[in-house]
Amino acid sequence: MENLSEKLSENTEYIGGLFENAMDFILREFKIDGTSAALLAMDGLVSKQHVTIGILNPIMRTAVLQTDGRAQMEYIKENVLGAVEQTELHTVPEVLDRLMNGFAILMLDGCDYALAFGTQGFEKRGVDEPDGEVMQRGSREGFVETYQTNISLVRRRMKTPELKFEKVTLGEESHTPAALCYLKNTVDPDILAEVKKRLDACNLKDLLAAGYLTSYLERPSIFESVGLTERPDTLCGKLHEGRIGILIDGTPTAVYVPYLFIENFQTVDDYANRPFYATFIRWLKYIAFFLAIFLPGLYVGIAAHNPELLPETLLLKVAAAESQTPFPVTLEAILLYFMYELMREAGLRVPKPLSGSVSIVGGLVIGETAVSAGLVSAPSLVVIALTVITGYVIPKLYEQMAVLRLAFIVVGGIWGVWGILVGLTFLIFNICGKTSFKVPFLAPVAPFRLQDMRDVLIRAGWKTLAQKNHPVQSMPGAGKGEKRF
Amino acid sequence: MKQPTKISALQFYLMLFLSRIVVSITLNAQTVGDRNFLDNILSSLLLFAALFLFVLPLFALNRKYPDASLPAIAERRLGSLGYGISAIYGLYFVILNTFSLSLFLTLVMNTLDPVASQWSIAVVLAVIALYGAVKGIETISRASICIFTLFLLGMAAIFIALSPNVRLRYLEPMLYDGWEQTLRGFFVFAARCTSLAEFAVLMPSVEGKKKLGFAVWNGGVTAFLALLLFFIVSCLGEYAYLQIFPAYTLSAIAEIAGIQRLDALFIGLCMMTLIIRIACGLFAVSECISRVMRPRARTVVLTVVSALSVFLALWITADAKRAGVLFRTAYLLPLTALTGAVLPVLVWLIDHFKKERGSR
Repeated sequence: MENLSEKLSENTEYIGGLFENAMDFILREFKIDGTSAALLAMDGLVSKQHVTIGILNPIMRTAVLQTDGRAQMEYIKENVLGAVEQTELHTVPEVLDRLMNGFAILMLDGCDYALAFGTQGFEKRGVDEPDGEVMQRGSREGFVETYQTNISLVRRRMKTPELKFEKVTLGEESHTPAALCYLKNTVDPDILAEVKKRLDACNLKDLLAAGYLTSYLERPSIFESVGLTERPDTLCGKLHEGRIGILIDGTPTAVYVPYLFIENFQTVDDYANRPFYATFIRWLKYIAFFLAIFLPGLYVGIAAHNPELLPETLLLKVAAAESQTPFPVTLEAILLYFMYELMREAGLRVPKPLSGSVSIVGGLVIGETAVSAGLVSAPSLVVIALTVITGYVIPKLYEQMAVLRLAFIVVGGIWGVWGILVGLTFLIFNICGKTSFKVPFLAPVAPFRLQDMRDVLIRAGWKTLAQKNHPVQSMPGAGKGEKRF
Repeated sequence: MKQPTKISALQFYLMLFLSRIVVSITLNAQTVGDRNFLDNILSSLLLFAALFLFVLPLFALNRKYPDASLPAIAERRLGSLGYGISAIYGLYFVILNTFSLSLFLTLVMNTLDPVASQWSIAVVLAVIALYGAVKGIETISRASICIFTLFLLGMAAIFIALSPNVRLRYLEPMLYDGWEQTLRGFFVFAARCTSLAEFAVLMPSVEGKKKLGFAVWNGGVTAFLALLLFFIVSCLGEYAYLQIFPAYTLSAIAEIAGIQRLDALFIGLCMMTLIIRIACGLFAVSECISRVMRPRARTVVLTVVSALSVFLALWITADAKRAGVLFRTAYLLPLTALTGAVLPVLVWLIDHFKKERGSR
C-alpha cells in the first residue's frame, strides 16, 4: 500500500499491522460529529500534553457541519487547529516518516490524506560543554543528540540568509534525518554536488554515529579527510571557509568536509588567544606530533643501530641501563607501549569505581616495579611516557599516532635511523597523495602558498586573517583531478 | 584529448632539484679527478651554462605544444618512428634508475654498513618509489616540497656543524693544474644530469613561471654543489681525495650540540631524495608508455620495471667490474646527451621543417 486510502479502516489496519508488537505505537480512534477519525503517534516521541490540549480537545469540542471527509479535514485544518507545523501527507511512507520523528497524525474516514502536527516531546540532553573539545576562551556550548537543536545552535551564530540547511535522510532502516549545512555564497557548488552524490550512495542500514558516515565521504587512508566536531563555533568557522557540514540526528558530532591535515593542529582557542601565544602553541603541537610518532622509533633506532648519534654521556647512561635488562631495546619498547595501551583501554572501559585500582596497578606496579625489577630500562620508560603524553596534545590524531608509533618502533628496530626516514618518506607520499573533495590534503604546505602560512607557520592577528580569507576550494592545487593510473 | 594534470613550477623544480642533487653529492676523486675539487665548482658552472643552451629546444617545443611531451610530439610528427623515441626515453629512465640505485647501494656498502642487507634496502626504496609513482606526479611533487624542506634543514645542520672545521689553508687556487679536472667534472655532472630528459617528458604537467623557475633551479643546484665542494675541500683537505664518498665523510665528522656523527642523518636524507628521483623516473616511464597502454597495464609495467631495476642494481653492485661499467661516464654521457640534447633538437627541427614544408 503506497497511497493512503479514503477508508480509515484500511489505513489504520495497514499501519497498525506494520506496528504489530510495537508497544510504543499509539492509535486513538474517535468520532468527529459521527465521522470516524484516528490519531496516530509514537509514545515517547510526542508530548502527550501537547497532543491532548492542542489537537484532541479542540477537535472533539468543535462542531463540524460538513459531512464529506475531505471537507471535514479542510475545515479542521483551516479553522480548528492552529499548530505551526501542519503538513498534508498522502502516502504511507510519509506517514511513517513523520510518526518516527515525533509528529501526531490525524486521519479521517472519507479523506485520502492525513494531517501531521509537530508535537515532538521526547527527552533530550541539554546543551553542555563537549568533553572532547574543551576550550579555555571559547563558547561552552556543544552539540547535542537532536539535530534540530544543533541547527539552532549554528543558526544563532550565523544570522545570515546565506546559511542553508538541506534535509537528507540516511540509513535504509533507521531513516535518520540529517541536515546538510553550508553558506551559499562561499560553498563550492561542485563540492556540494559531490557531497550529495556520496550521501546518496550511502547504503547504510543504520546510522548510529557520525563515524559511520565518514567512510562514504573519503577514500580509505590512515589519516582522516573528514572533519568531526562537537562544537557549533568550530562548525561555523568551517562553514565560513566554504566547507559543508552535516548534522546527524542522534549524534552530538557534526561532520564537515573538505578536511585538511593542517586542521588537526587548529583549535578555536588558537583564534581566541593572542597571536604570539597561539603561534607558540601551534609549534608546540607540530613538535608534539613528530615526537609522538617518531621519538620511540628514533630511540630504538639510535640505541640499536646508530649509537654514534647520541652524545657520549647520554650514550653511556642508555647503554648502562640497557645492559641491566633482559630484552632487546626494540622488544622492550614494544612491550612498554603495549602495556601502556592496555592500561589506557582498561582505564576507558573499566567502571569508574575501579579506575583508581587501574591507575595504581599501572603507575606503581608496571611503571616503578618493572624498572626496579630490571625488566625494562628507565630511559625506555621515560621515552614511552613522554611519547604518550605528547600524543594527547593533538587528540584528533591519537588513533593515527598510536598505530604509526608502533610501526616506527618496528622500522627503527630493524633498519635504524635511515629506516625511520624512509618510513617518513612513505608517510609523506601517503599524505601528499590524499585529497579531500579535490582539495590537496596537505595544502597549503604542499602545494605551497606563502600567503596561507599566516595560519600555518604562525597564527597572524585577526586584522590580517580577516583581510584575505580564502575559501577552502581556493587552496593551491584544489579542483584538479589526481593523475593516477 | 585529456588535459594533463598540472603541477606548479615550484613543485616541479623542487622535484628536479632533489632528483639532480642526490647523484651529484656522490662525487669522488675517482670520477671527477683528484687534483682540486674546487675546480669542479667551475664544472658545475659550465653545466649551468650548458643547460641553458640545451633547454632551448625543449622550451620552444613546449611553447608550441604546451600539453604534449617530447615523446608525444615525436609520435604525432613522426608516426611509428616516434614510438621509438618514446621507447628510448623509457629505457633511459630505467637505466638511470638502476644507476641511481646501484650508486646508493655502493655508498651504503662502502660507508654505512658493509654487512647491511642490500636487497632489503633496494626493495624498500623501490617499493616506496613505486608507491609514489603510482600515486602520480602530484603526489611526488607535493612530497618533494616536504622532503626538500627536510633536506635543506638537514644539510644546513650538517654545514653549520662543520663550520668550525673549515680550514681556509686547504683551499687551492682554481685551475692551478689546468682545465682537466674541470672538464672531467663537467662530463660527470652532465652524464648524471637526467633533468633535461625529465623536462622533455614531464614539461606538459607544469604550469607557472617555467623559465624563471628553470633559472632559479639551475642556479640553486650549482650554488649547492659549490657550497658542498667548498666544505669538502676546506674541512677534509687532502683526505677528501682518498674517500670513496667525501660528502659522506664530511657528514661523519660533523658534530652538533653533543650529537656526534651526522652520517646516519645524511644517509637518511640521501635515501629520501633518492626515492624522489626513482619515483620521478618511474613516472616518466609511465608517461612514455601512456599512449599505448591502459592505466592498469601501466601499473603492472612499472612494477616490473621497479623489480628489474632492483634486480639489476643488486646484480651490478655484486661485482666491482660490472659496477665500473655502469658508473663509467663514457657510457652514460652519450645516453644523457641523446635524450637531453640530440633528440629534443632533432624533434624540434623535424617539427619546424614539416611545418615549413606544409605552409608552402
